[in-house]
Amino acid sequence: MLAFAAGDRTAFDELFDRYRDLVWRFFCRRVPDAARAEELAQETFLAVIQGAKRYEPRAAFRSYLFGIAFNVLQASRRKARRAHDQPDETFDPPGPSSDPADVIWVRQALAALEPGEREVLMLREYEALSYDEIAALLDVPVGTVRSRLFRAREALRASLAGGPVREVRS
Amino acid sequence: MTDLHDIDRAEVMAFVDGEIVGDRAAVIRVHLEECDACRAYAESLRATSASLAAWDGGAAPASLDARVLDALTRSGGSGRGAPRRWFPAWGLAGWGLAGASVAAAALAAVLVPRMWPTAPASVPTSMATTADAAGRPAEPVAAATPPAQASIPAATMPEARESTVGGAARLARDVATTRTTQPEAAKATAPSTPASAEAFRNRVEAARSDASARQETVAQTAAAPVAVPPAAMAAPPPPAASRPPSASLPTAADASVRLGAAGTAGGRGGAMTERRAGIVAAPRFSLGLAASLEVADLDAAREAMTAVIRARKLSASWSALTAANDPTREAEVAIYAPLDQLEAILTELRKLGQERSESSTEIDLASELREISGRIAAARTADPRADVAALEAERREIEAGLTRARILLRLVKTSHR
Repeated sequence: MLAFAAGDRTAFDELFDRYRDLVWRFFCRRVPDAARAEELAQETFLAVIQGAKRYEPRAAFRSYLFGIAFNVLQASRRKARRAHDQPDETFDPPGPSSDPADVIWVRQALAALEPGEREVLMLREYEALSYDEIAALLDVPVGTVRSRLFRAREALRASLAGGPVREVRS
Repeated sequence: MTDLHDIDRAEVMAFVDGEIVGDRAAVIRVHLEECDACRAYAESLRATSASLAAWDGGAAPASLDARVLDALTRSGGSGRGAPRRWFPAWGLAGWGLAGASVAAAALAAVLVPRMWPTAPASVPTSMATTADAAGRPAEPVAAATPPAQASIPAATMPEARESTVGGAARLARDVATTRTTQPEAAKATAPSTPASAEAFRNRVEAARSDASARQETVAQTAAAPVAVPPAAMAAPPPPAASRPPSASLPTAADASVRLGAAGTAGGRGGAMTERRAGIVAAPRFSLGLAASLEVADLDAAREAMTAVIRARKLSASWSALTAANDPTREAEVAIYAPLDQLEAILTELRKLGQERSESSTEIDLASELREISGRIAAARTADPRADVAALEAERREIEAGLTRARILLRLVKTSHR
């Protein structure tokens, strides 16, 4: 990132190659249509480009990047709230009907979680952020992250009992 | 089960997540070796994670690469400014500030393509958002203005044009819904937003709903005469209380005055109400629209655009044509428009050529500032040591937008003296 900020175009290419799928997945798991996910992913990388000169390596770039992505997501949700005058806390990212049963179950299980717990869980499981990073990103104490994560996982463990049939090796 | 030991499940979870290190981690590790229940719990957590991993999300579409890399190219290769991903989707603050930014750019000997130097009856010169070849701010497009083209060395135009747009966009806080269409030849590298057309319409509908709640004010505003006597341009706008209820359609300058006075970008109908009432509430919407068209005849397009603006008694904040020898033949215009005319104006503009992009903007910096301040206060109440750096950064960004708007207000006032 520092190299890119210094004007090294190839450094951005490298960053983009490394993170494009991660950013894409961040959004496609959280917004209801792929086109919108792509727009938001684009917006995130644009923000990285625009902010390169101001970038300070105070945290891991990964954390910085998902911080931007999260802000983009929140801004999008705020706009949706204003436009439709209703909360945008729904979690219903539809997938293709050909999705494996495992994936359908995961989406259903996540949808059943309380939004705050779900977000913490997803940031941990899918973005692999640390508790501290999640706390900073969500602007909540680390203890809150931990308790939300615990509750989310307990709920998921309960769901797991009723999950898809799994192959049992004997 | 949680408190069967001095190690609870939440701590086991944190250990599995690698969040516990040092001596405590060693204690837990030993405990897991000895305690079947805790070990089983740790395994169940790992199994849960493995289950979640089934939702992979897949690889990003190739079109994302084209869009981002195109933006990077437009930005100049590194973080040197906002890429022109769409037609500049400026909030009112951004639109007005574009005048100041571009005027500054002009002083640095930046040239722009052919302009429409005009003498609008309803837009003060300070709102000009482009500049002529001599570096003087040119006036915005307006009704009843004969076309006049600046003589600019053609070779410098495309670059100057881009930097002009970029400079404006850098100052703008983009909170827009945008629709972009691209000619076939440009699709390989240009951004496209296949789903944003629907989003755009949704936003317009939402804005209309908001407008209908203030129907009386909007209708009054939209029906009001536009002409402000030229003499009035030399004097500062009268105090809100002294303005008649049937005041003219707000010009760009009006919008800026409102924006500065209220500390926010204001919706047309709501803002007018606010002025008369002495700023009783922050307006919710500000809307403007911008369009970029590839046209067959630049001069004809300019005249047609001017006719659209004139017929509706509106004012434009910015406009530009590509150079005469530029094969893209692109005409751009940004217009302040009442909500109820938005779609109709866009429909008219679309008839003038091949649409390259269009956007509408809404911005409500004041409510965003309140929202973020509330979140910061809540976080600090919950935990005085909470790290609110990210929120503070966002608040500073919003405050910067307001500051820019107030600077613009001063510029506008200065121009009236």
